[in-house]
Amino acid sequence: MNEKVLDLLYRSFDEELSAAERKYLNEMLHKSKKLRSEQQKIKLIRDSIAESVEQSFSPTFSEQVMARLRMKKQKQTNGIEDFLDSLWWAFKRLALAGSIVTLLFIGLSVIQKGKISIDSLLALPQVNLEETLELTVLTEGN
Amino acid sequence: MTDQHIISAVLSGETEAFRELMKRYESRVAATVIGMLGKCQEAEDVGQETFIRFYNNLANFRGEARVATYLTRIAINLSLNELKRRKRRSLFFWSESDTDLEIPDQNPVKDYTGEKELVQQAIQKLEPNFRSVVVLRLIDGLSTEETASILNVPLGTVLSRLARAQKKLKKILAPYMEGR
Repeated sequence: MNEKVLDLLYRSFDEELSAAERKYLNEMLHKSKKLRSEQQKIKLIRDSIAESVEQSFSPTFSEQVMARLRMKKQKQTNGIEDFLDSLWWAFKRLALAGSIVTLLFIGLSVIQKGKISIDSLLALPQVNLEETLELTVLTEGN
Repeated sequence: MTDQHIISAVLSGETEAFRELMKRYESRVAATVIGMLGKCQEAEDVGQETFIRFYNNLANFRGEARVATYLTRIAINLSLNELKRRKRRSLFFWSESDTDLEIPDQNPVKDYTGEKELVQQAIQKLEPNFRSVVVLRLIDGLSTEETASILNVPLGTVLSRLARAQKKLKKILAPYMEGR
């Protein structure tokens, strides 16, 4: 069979042929019984393919998808909650450690000075008023 | 209720509304995926993944394409990926796809279920690129232009693949179709 005509025959199922091509194909179909049989075979195969289609998944398909979506949503919510929980947990530990250190410093200050001194807690140099004035006089004398 | 209304409902937090979208498009996705992979557990998994991906991208869905087209695009891409995975696996393990076509019945043309299986098996014999045009054009009933757009190939490529696929299918199925 003429390969060109055969290609034209296949194309005729899926695209609009030009007027000249259509006329030529019709003439060939009219003349050749083999070509007509070929056309029938192609049509039969295309119909069989269209009919062979399986259009459903298992009966639980949509339920399974919904379950996956719910699980995903749950995971997202859990993710945010987990983050906040771990943040709160870390903060509690830090706050506790900070409080213990502060109390230790206060205790140390009370033992050393017999009073609670903010300067010693903050490790600032402790200078009294007399020392400050003395330093000023010395500087002016120079 | 239109698809867009359902999508808006899902986006506003009504996840259950998504069930209605699945009800509308399950058959379309099933036809595409089962056409590409055959009736098997992997097809079921790819079908599920298609809807999950669609759900995840709902916020980006602007309604320019129809939901059916959008879903078909996801389904065909995931199916092609699955076929690539199968091919990689078959490099290591012997694959059943190398065997000859199994005739399900002594006289399959008279048995509707047998013929259906036979045609499905024949489609599975096609290479993925040919199979995808057959599924989109002949099973999903898309136009050649839509097929080209979904597969991201020129129209001429779709037409030539269709012709070659049909020639191959005719060669495989002709002996079983005699007398019809």
